[in-house]
Amino acid sequence: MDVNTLLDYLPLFAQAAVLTIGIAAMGVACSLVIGLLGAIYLYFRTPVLRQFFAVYIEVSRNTPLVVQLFFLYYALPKLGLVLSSAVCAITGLAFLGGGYMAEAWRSGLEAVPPLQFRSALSLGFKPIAALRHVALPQAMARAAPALTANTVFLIKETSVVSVVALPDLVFVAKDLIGASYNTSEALTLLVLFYLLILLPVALAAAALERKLRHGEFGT
Amino acid sequence: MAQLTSDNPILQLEDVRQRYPNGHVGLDGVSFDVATSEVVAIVGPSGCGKSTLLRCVNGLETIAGGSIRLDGQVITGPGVRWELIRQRVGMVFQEYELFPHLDVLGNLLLGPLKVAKEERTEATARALGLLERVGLADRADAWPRQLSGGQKQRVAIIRCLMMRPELLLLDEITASLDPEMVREVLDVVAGLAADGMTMLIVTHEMSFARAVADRVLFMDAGRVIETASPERFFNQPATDRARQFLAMFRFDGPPQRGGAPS
Repeated sequence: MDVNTLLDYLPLFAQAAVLTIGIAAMGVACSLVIGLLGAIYLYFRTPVLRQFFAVYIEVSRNTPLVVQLFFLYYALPKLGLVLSSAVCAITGLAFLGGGYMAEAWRSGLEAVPPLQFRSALSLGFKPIAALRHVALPQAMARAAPALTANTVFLIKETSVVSVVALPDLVFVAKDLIGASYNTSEALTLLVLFYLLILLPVALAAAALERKLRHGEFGT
Repeated sequence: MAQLTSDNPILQLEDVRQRYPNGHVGLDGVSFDVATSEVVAIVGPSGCGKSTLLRCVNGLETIAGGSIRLDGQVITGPGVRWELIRQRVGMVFQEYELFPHLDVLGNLLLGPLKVAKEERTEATARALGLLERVGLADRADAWPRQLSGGQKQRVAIIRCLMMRPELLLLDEITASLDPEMVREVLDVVAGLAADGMTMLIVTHEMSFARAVADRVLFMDAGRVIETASPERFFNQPATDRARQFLAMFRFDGPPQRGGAPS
């Protein structure tokens, strides 16, 4: 392995990492929101929307991201909807992640005793406020491990976005290997950069989980 | 029967009927009034509808017939803003239901800050005053998990008081407590009664009902069977059903066995 090659490649990987992080952040944020909405409709058994989300969850979790991305990037334009590569990648991640996050949020919400919710109502909270101030904070503490696992999973899933022509970390690594056969240098940097992105996320999530759980469960 | 109507009723129930989704009849035509500052104890066997009755009064159960009035205003039927009614009708539950993700002060402030939009400093001052009053001045920063059952229930009671309710519903609030903690909770309730708080108390603590209630309602099978002063109800119950019920609370030794072998 050549140190100079590593150093030469560093800026290219750093640039690609910024893209990977951006796509991942947007995708994770959207999937958290979609998942939360789905979980709320499932939790309140809202007619129509509940069935819609139940179907959505199955579709999103039972199709590979690569296939979803192919569909968004190559099939939708034929149907008259052209999305940019970045929008395709974020949409695909949000679609996939939304299903997983919905199930994580739902497990958390259902683990909060229903009487907690009624107790909040009895203080004069409207249902949506009771959800926000009483049920959700407790649900989040319970769902934190699953939400974290999904977040890490989604960040790792960004490694396939090069199929829609996004110059992410994998794209750059493949490109450099193809151009100069510096396979070990390129792959070493690829591993390092994913660790560099994912380890802080895992540590931050663990800290957040401790904070969320402290009140109810102690340390 | 003792008086069914009173001069200035804060709560009026008229022929209230409730039915559970499984078809079980919860309330089968319940009528009574509660006067301002009156303390009414509701007693009766399990499943008689007494807890259902409390939940109907603050809209946690929907009634199928009859009407409930709070301070003259009908609070049953479509279009009722329960979130407004419930600020006026506090409810304390058997299992305390403190919010475990908030400390004691957080539990007390959540309603005033988020529902009543009260000033934080003012609400905090009131919360600390109430904590002092129930002997928990030093527990403001504690988490619910660090409190005993009796302490949790005292916090739950003053969490209701923070909303300045006109009426308090207490649903078997000592039923989950260890015996040595029952007293500290009942002392708080007795104090509220002395201050003129109107209360509807579902309880199995007969001696407490006797000591603190102005009136006792005896319920069975979704109906009010007997309404009387505590003196009268506990000394000379008018119905057989009430006599049988009260007899269950007396333990006179094991039942007599007939025909012992000689």
